[in-house]
Amino acid sequence: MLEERAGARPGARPLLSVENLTVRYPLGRSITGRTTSLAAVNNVTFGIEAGKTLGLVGESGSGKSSIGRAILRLAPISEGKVIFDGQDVGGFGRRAPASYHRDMQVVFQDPMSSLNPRQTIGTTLGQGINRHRPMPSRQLDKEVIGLLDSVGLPSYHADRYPHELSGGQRQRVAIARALSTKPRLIVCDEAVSALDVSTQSQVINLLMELQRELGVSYLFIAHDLDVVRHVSDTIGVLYLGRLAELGPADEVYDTPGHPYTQTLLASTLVANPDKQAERSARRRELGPVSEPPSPLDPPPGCPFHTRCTFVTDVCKGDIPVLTTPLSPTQQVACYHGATVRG
Amino acid sequence: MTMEPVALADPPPSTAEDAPTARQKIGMFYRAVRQPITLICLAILALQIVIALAAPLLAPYDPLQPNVQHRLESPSSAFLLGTDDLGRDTLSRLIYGTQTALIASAQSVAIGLVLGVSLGVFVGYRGGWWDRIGMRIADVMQSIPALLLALALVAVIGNGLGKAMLAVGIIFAVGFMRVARAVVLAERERLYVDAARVLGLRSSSIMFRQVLPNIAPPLIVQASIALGTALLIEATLSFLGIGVDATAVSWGSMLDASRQHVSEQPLLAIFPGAAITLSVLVFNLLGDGLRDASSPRGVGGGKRKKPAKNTAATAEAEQNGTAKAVTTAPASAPTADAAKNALLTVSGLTVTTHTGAELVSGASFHIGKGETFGLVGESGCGKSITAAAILGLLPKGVEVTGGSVQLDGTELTGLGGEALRQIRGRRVGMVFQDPISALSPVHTVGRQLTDAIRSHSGLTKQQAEERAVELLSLVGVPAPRKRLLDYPHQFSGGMAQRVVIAGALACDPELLIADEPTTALDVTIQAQVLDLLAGLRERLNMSLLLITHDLGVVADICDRVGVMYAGQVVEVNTVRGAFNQPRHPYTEALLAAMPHGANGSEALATIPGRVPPAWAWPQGCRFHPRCTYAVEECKTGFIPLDDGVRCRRAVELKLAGAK
Repeated sequence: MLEERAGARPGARPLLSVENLTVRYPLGRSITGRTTSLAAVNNVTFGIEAGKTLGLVGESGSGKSSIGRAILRLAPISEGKVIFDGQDVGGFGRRAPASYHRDMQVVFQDPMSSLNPRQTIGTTLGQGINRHRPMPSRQLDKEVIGLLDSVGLPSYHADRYPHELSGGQRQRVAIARALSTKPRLIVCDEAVSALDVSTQSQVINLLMELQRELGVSYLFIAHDLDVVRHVSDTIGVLYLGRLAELGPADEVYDTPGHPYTQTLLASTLVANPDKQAERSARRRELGPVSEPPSPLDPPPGCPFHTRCTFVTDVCKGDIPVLTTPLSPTQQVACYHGATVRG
Repeated sequence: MTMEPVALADPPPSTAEDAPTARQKIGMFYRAVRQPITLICLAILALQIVIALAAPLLAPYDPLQPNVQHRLESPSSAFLLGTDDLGRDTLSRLIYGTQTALIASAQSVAIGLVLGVSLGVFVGYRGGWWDRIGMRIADVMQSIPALLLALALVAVIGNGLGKAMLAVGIIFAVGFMRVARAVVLAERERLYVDAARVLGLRSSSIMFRQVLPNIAPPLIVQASIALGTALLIEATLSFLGIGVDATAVSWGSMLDASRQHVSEQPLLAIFPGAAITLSVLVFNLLGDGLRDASSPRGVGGGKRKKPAKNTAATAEAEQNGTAKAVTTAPASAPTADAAKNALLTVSGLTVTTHTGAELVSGASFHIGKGETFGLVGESGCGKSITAAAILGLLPKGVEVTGGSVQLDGTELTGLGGEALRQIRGRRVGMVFQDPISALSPVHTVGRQLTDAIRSHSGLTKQQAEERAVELLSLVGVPAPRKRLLDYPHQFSGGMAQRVVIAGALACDPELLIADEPTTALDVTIQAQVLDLLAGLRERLNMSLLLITHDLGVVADICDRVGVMYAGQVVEVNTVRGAFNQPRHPYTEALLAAMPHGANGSEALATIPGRVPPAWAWPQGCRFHPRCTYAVEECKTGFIPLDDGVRCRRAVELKLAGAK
């Protein structure tokens, strides 16, 4: 049984806080020697409390994966801070302390490429355990079987190679690997997006079960608002690298305050002809949505104004900041946040 | 400290093919030795190694001891392969020559491997300036022929085979370094390396334990071929007299000696020549064989199973007639009526692989004129194969073995290539999942559209261009005339899919088949493309067959739906009917498993286990191992599609609809 950590008290300071995070990727140097870069994430701020889930939704190019990667130190923290358990992640230098690697883990979208094809499942899991809790090999074998068991896989899978498992089973292994260090926060980067419906629901249930048992926090990155709503306590909606909306899951889902969140919700398909007809009607009401602008050349002012039906001149000026026009907890980056809710 | 299992609603049951005993050995060498040529090469190589090691025991004479009484003799019982100009036994010299050849080539390749791999892994993993400088040095080195460098080195540091082979090894190192670097560069971008970093594994550990094993296959292939080259270089150097000295024997120096006496004893050149040729051939063929064995399939799949004799399939085939009779039975009169007006009627369609696995078993459904029909199911249920079978686009080794597909009265199964091509172009359009790969990257969009239009109509180039502009504006591509000149990569995913749809509409098809047309697109773009498809169907009065795994897509634009499971259509109904009152437990389970906007206080419903592979469809109802309503009688016999549902308990079950 993983011990519950002391930091799990409700109302304590967040386990992870991201403050004004900006992630820039260098794109290369022009002839004049000026380096160009792509700001994938711009001035994003949020926090995750212990044992809670923050869901990040957005379409491709919204920067949601870059946020996860920056937190994991796989992408540069160009500006702002990522503070995990009181430690500044950006200030670790070349080598992060072992405690950080132990506490922070990841589950990627594609379990085929996130598992080493030439290592057995047992070897993959054993590495994580051994790195942080070295132990004799017999005990290690037992621990590996315990991990497999905790994600609902039989023990003989330890001798298997990734290609011998199905997609859902591989994703369970990826979750087991994340659990091998007994982490406090797991970044789930589109962790269920590549799975079939029935497998997807199995993996979602597993993740939530593990959270109840172990008190682990999730940063749950996905493009499906219905899935995110199901797993999250808080939802952040990203558009072109900026947070359009951030708030408690019920409020963001039931009463979306940002036009983009509304469009996203109306575009999310639901497997119910009557509800879907309502959503389609709402989608048409919000008007045809044009193509998203390139992240390389974001429009001035509100990044969504080129596709927004509520657009006025003020939207084209300064970039709107997150305010709370609707409820004290629901933050919306829209000049018309109070009126668009309709 | 052990971990307690977290209670799972559904521990996946271990099926027969899952059991530990059924495991197949994998590995490059295992596959390599199953190729006859590779096996023969390995045997010859092993023989050569034995000969080299046991040379003193095998050789009948001292290879260096002159015997002037027997100069240039022909093969005889005393000298099996004859003697050379000093009366030395050719066989003995050949045997000792094997020793020289193998040692020299192994030496140079070993030097090359050690040097090349360590440098390649280093520059590949560190990248940046290390990489740039390393690769420029490699470029310079590679421009020098190995033989030339060996000659130069021998000139500087004196004669000797060892020194010459050192030079050859250094040149080989460049090749190995390139291979190692390329693999490291590719592998370090893989997600599992990221995951290892997140685990906090040290760089050295990631490099040696995670990345290095992936370099082995290409290197082994390269090394095998390098061994052949090295052997050739050794022979050349010795032939030129700067390889082995007089105290050793080499095939090359034997050739050199034979050159002077070829008129007296022509056989003298043949034996060392043959030995060299054979050895180089063995190394090269071995390299080829290993390369085949290490192809990407090796790591990914490579699992081949003979399908178990599928009695259920046979039963299906036998009862196909009855099954069809049942679907059109008077009890379902409205369906029969509708079927009469159908544009596309698929009945009893069965698709089988050459190994005998049934990918689709007796699929039956029809699509009315102007109707949108959704074919839905999880991956591996045969929905894409059904679409491919309708169009005659099945992959090699897979064919239609039963049933019929009728397009407005025309039977499509059994039609020849050209006739089907006409149908595909003129009457049926096709849209695939990935728009970018469906378009050719080297031609402009305009060229591709006009080609498609002209291949099926007698339009001139100008007329075809006008039509292309018309089609692009029909599918909502802004500034269509300008965009005709653009290449596919200049389009976003959503726009590219519109172009593909425009292409499919080129000749006013009666039926458009779309296989996961929006799966690769973003949510808002998906909604647009679905709206477009629905609008086009209405405006052009065509029928639409939509293949998808997403029940939401079906709910959005389909009129009727067919649910597929394990190669069978298990339920056919109107969308509202199937979603509000599903009649097959699989439909109910799929609907329940979708997150439906509730918060996570209650767990999602799941379907235990997973779709079985095509060679192991269960007996009886194929869904019964995963079905919560299964009873004993579900486990045997053939279950027909009766009144739109394939379930023994359809009448008694009251199933829950979409939430």
